[in-house]
Parts: sequence; C-alpha cells; structure tokens
Amino acid sequence: MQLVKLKIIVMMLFVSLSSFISLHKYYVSVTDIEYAKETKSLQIISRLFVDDFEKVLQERYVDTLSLDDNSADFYIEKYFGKKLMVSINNELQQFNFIGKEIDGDMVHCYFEVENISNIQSINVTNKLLFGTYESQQNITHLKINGKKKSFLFIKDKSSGLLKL
Amino acid sequence: MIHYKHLILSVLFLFSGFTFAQEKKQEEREPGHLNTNKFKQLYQEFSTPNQYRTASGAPGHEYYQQKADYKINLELDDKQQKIFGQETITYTNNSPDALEYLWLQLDQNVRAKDSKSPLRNGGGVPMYDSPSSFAGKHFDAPFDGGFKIEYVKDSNGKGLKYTINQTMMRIDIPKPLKAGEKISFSVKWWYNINDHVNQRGRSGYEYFEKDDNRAYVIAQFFPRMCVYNDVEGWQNYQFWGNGEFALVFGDYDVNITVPADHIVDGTGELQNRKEVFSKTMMNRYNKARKSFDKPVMIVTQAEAEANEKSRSTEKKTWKFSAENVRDFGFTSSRKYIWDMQAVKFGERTVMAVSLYPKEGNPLWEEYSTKAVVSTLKSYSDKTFDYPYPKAISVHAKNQGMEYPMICWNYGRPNEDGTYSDRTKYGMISVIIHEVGHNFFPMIVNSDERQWGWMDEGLDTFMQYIAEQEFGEWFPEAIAPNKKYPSSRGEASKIVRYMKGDQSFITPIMANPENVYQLGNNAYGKPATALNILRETVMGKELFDHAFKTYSKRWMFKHPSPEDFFRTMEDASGVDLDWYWRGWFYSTDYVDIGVKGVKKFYVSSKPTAKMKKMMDARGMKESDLPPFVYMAEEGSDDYSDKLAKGSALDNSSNLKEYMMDNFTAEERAVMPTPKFFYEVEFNKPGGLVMPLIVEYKYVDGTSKKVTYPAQVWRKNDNEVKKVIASEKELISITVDPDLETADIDVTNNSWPKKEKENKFKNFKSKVKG
Repeated sequence: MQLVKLKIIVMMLFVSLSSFISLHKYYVSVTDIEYAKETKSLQIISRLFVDDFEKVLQERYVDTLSLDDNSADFYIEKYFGKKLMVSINNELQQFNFIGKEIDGDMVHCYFEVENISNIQSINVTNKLLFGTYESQQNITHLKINGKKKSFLFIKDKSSGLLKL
Repeated sequence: MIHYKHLILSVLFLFSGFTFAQEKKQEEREPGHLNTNKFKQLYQEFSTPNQYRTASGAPGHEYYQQKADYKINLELDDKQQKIFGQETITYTNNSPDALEYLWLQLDQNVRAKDSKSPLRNGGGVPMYDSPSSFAGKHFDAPFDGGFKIEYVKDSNGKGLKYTINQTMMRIDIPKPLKAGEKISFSVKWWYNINDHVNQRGRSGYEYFEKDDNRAYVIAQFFPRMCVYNDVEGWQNYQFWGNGEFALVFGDYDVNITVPADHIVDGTGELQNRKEVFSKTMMNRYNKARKSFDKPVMIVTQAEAEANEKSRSTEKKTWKFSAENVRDFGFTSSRKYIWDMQAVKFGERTVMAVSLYPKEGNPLWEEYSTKAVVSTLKSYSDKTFDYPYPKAISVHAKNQGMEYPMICWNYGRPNEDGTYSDRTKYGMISVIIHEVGHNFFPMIVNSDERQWGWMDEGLDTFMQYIAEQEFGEWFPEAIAPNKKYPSSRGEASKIVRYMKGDQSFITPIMANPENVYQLGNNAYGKPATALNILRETVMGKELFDHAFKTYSKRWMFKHPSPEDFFRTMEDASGVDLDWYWRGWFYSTDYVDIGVKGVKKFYVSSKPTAKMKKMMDARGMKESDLPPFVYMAEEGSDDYSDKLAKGSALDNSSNLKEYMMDNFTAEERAVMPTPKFFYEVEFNKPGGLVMPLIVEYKYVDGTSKKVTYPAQVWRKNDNEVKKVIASEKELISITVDPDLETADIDVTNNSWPKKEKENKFKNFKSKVKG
C-alpha cells in the first residue's frame, strides 16, 4: 500500500517541484461524528492517511515525529484542536482525545465531547490537512438522533451546519 | 411423472388465466429494451479473436513479436552526475507489415525543461507552503534532465533523420523495413541525472551528505524501442509519468564504466567478474553460489564503510550480458554492502542478491535477501520457474521500482538503527512486490503504458499470496503476528474504496493516466478482485490452474487484457464474463442483504390468495387436483394447530402421496421438514456475486450455503429461496466471513443485528 502511494507521491512531488501542483493522489480524510444518547457524548473518529498526516505534523511540530510513537499523541491533540471545530447550539466544544490506532496506511483518531444533551444545531469546521495538500477533501458524516448529514469539505468551504 | 406433469400444467393454466385478467387492467404497454443482463457475454467489449490472438486467450498461429537487441557503452560521471551513452540497436521486424519508420522512447524527456508533463495538471494557490516547496516551485530554474541526442546513424555511419515529439522519437529510415528484415543503427546521447529523493523519479541518485557519496539507481537511461504489435501498431503513447512502460524483448550487452571504487550490479550476468572483483570477493561469491540456506556477504559493512572514504580517480568497466529481457537497469555506489544467496530451480542455480548502504541496516541484512528468495519461490510455484540467473533488491530511500532482475526498494531504519513495524513490513512487502514484478510485467510482458492493472494488479494479487507464504515460512520474522499483515488482498481491505464517492472512481479498464486513485484502481481493486475470484468464486484449484496457464502461455510474450480474461475462462470452464464486466469494466460495488423472512406451515386448505384466484376462475376445491398449500405464520390462513402438527399431519394429500409412492423403509430414512421459510435476499449493489448464506438453527448447528452468482441472472435486485428444515431457524447471515467486499453489512443479517460501535469498542480497549 505504501508502495503504491509512494509511486504516486513520486509523481506529485516531481511535478510540484517543476512549478505546478499536481493532483494525482487522492487526498482525503473521513470523519464520523455521532451522538451517543446513552453516554450523552459526541463520538468522533477521524481517519487520515498516515503519510499525509505524519508529514503535516512533522512540518508543524517535530521533524522526526512518527505516528507509530505515542509521543505523537500530544501533537495530534494539539493539531486537531486547531483544525477540527465543533459547535453545539452555537457553543464551541472542547473535546477529549481518546487515542489513535493505525490500520494499514490509515490512522484513526478518536475524540469525545462529553455532557451533551438537547442538540438543536451542530456546526462543524474541518480544516484537517488543508494547505499542505491543495486537493485535500474532508468527508464528514454527522449522525445525530437519527438524522444523517454528510459534508464534503474543501479548502474554500470547510464548515457546515446541521439543524435538528 | 405424468402425475407431476398434470399438476404443473393445471397450475400453469390457472396462473395464465389469472395473469391475463390482470393484464387487461394495464393501459400502457412498456417499451422494449436492449440486453442489459449482467450475464451478457462481453462481445462488445472484447476485441475480435484473430490469427494473432485466439478466442481461447492463447497466442494465435500467426502471433509475432518484434525483437530489439542492444549493445550499449555507458559512462557514469559521478562528479557531475551525468550519464554518457552510445548504443547500437539491432531491430528485427517479425511482423507481416513493412515499417516506414521506427519509434523510440525518450523517457528522460519527461524531465526536460520544456516537458509538457507538468503542464497537464491544474491547481490553485495553497493556503500555506513550506519554504523549500515554495522556493522549488517559484525560484528554482527547472531541472534540465532531458536526453541530449548527439546523433542517430545507420550501420554505415550515415546520419538518420529523426523527429522528437516529447518523449517519443521517430527515426525515418531510407526504405521501409520489410517483414522479416533487420536494421542496425546507433544513437549517442547524454543527460543530467536527477536526485530521485528530492526531485523524485524512478531513476536517479540519492546524495549522502555525511560521507559525500551518491548511490545511483539508474533506469530509462537509454533510447528504447517502442513496441510494434497487432494490438496497438506502434505503442507511442507519450510517457506522462504514471503509465509505465511497453517494451520489446531482446538481448543486451552493456558495458558500464564507473569510478574504480564503485560497486555495480544490474540486469544480466556479469561477464568480467574476475576483472572487477577482488580475490576475497571472488571466494565469497563462489561460496554464495553454494549457500542455499543463508546469504553470504560479498562486501561487508566494515568494507563498505571503508570504501565510502575512498576517492578513486581510476575507472573500471563492468560488463553485463542479458538474454531475452525487455529492459535494463543498474545500480552503482561506493557505499554498497552486498550479499547473495543461492536458490535452486530444477538444475539451475539462481542468485538472490541485495545491495544496500549502511543506512539500510540492521533491517536490510536481516530481511532483504530472505524476502527475495521467498518471492522467487512463491511466484514460481504459481507461474513458472524463475528463468533469469538472478534477482537483485537494491535499497533506495523512498521508492519501489522494478526492472528485469533488479529493483529498488524503500524501508529505512531510523538513524539509531531502530525501526517501526510499519517500516519493516513496508520494506518486506515492497521487496516482494518489486521482485515479483519480474514475473509481471518483465516476463509476462503486458503493456503498462495502456493497462496499469495488468502488471500492478496481477503482481499485487501474487504479492498477497507471497506475503502470506513468507509469514508461514518465517513465523519468527513476523512474530507476534500469527499471519503476515498484508495491506492488500483481503476483501475487507477494498471496501472503503468501493463505497467511496463514485465521481472519483474509474473502472479498472482505464488508462493509468486518467484515473483518480491509481493505487486503488490499478493495484488494490484488481488484486482483491482476483483474490475473491480465487478463494470464493472459482476455488483455488481451478483458479491456480488457469492463472498458471495464462502465465505460461504469455511468458516472454505480450498479452492483452482479453488474453488474460479469456484464458482464465478457457482453462477453468468457468464462465466469467459477468465477473470481468462487473469488477473490471464497471465501478459497481457489492451490497447483498437479507430483506425478509416469512415462516410457513404445510396446510391442506387453500390460502386466501389461492381462494381469490379460484373465485376469479369460478373454480371449487373439488375441481382441483390434490394440492399442498403453505400457510404463513400470523396470516389468516394460519392456526396454532398447524404449528403443532407435522407436514404430513397437516396435509392429507401429501401424506397419501408419500404412502402411495414410498415404502415404509424408504419413508423412515427421509428427512421430514417441519419448518418452512421463504427468505428474500436483495441486492442494492450493482455487482453480481455468489450469494453466501449461513443459516443457524435453534439447536446450535449451522449450515453455510453458497448459491452461485447465476442466482441473480433473471432478477438483478432480489431473489427468494425456500428453506425447509426439521429444526427452527434462528438467524441468517449473508457473507458471514466477509469474503465478497460487501460495502454495507448492516443489511446482512436476520434478525437485524445491532451495529457494532467502533468508538465504544476502541474506548473500552484504551481506557479499560
């Protein structure tokens, strides 16, 4: 898997250094945000490509950072705090980082917002990996009290609102 | 027999009358339609078989292929990072056609200053950029990496007219090259070698600042003949960067002159080993040729580290000779550690070889050659014995790329020598993949420029098998894993791609330049499709025989997609047009579910529905032959009495029939089902697949039934099955072992299962 992506990255970087940005690779992340009634919490799982995410964290924080390492958790939390924003009933929420797991070439990051009840509206801003990857798309699925809504966020449109 | 016939006829009669009455109500007639059946044969999609390629998928009686023999003299200028070359190509026209001109490939022109490759992509201003990326884009002068052609001359030294169109060069020959004729001509060239780590690319050098050395992995370094064949004519589709290569088989004599302290290896057998090897190396090499269980070091790490400091001004020429290869690649550096191990194929000894700088250790000395040996064995078992004299794995920092007998592979430990599992398995997997490419496309020589999946897909499929075998053969290497953690191959791994946004998915049968996700499109999906075909649809025995037939038929030849598709059917007797159509020609996905289950009991009374039909025809029960009826539990036809009795108790017609036609002994051993279910399966997904169902019964037993894919041939949306059982059914699961890449398993169970909460599972795992 890494192999193929590398081949594609090869071309992407090669072309970008020759003064154009190429869109060969599919830059995408998927975030599921679901409300769990029984725990009164918002459960968030974000899935990102390991190599893309690692590169962004290395550029921003530590050159040698590796997502295999638990020391990366601090930076994951920090980065998400800036790039993924969730407001419930117009109030910005703080979320807890539960952990991450690597599955093939994807890293799954888990967050939770506790003590949530009576959601009337939820606003999500998802800017993960924008900027570094011009064509980055962040698919975001919301599932709140049986109501479903999906967003495809791009650089120019990175937030969406679901009213219940 | 007559009795049955009568029954069937009378029922047909009843129903036909009934349908007729219904039809009268319809006012509008539906229009006709074309054949859109998913089982329709692929006559429109496939090319017509002919004398070159048969309908069975084998080469035809007039199959031909061209031959291109190369004699190349090359000098590597390590100081200026340039390559200077002169080649004589002898081209044999085995086609029945006269060729007015010849086409050669100038792949390095993709890096020329005026390359059109970067101009074909769009993109806007990023929100932010790293300084190095920004400077590279806007301040640096473009790297000039294109071919500088000095001359093209005929065999008498007379200049030949040539025209360069981007990455292709047409040579105009004075008179057409007739069928069966040969032509020799020479080309002289040079070019600047790129840094393959920072400027990227499949060929180039890596610079090691600490010891001021370079490691070169060099390919596409010489003007190469295009393929001319019955499928494409001249295959001169430009090299834009993604679609790899289409190349002609031939014999190569290549002399490579490098600084005297460089270690070189490449495609073919080394002809002057005694001139370029020290006595110690020679002794170790002779030992390695007999070492079948472990690698022998030809150059040790200590020797390589000493060599790094050398700066010889002398030159040495390494001479290689290769027969029946489609290309040539080589590597050269002062930094190389070198090990080799022997592998036996019949009477032949093949050398498994690794070259790596000290930066690759301790990972490389432990796993590289081991992975090479393992790959050769696994692939040979499924195709043909590896025919070349050696297979080399070279460590390049961050790319994997394949050439005949040699490939570059990533997987570099941290500077302190530690490495993660991801690095280790990434390295073993990429070695298996790239060494495996020796089979597809180096020997089974498909056209990569047109069909990326034909080599990448087949190779990734084989890679999965080889990885699993590596895990079985070296359990200590993969511990604590029980099986090798393959990232591709298993059905479940492709689900995320298959259920993705359809506007970013292309059918597999597409040119690699024009797909959105090459990794999934040309590698992951075809590999998984073949794995599912092998394990679930055809079975290993039929599949493996057909796959081997394809490999052998097209070994050292140029197959097209149809040759593969047709051979797989021809050698197995399994009609697979529906499979190719769905998996390779469409972006359909698998989604099969169980929609509903109704429970019935045998009854002697006509059901309400039946009565309605009888009334419409003015029939009484006494007008009917002896029928058996089924009453649905909970319906008006049902009563608790039915649930208590057996099928025979509930229907005297059935009981009498059994008494009349079977002896008591016969009846005693027959199954006597009591529970009858009508199960409705539905197929929201477009892909046709076998319907795999697990039925679980109240006594804890279960039964797995695989209905062939053809179950969908008359209704692509839903199919009903009647299940008769002596025991009560408690659950039904479609695709219980997740072997079909079903993208939505929430509809796979009856009764409907609570969806697993991934978040809850993870949280309890982490927080305890």
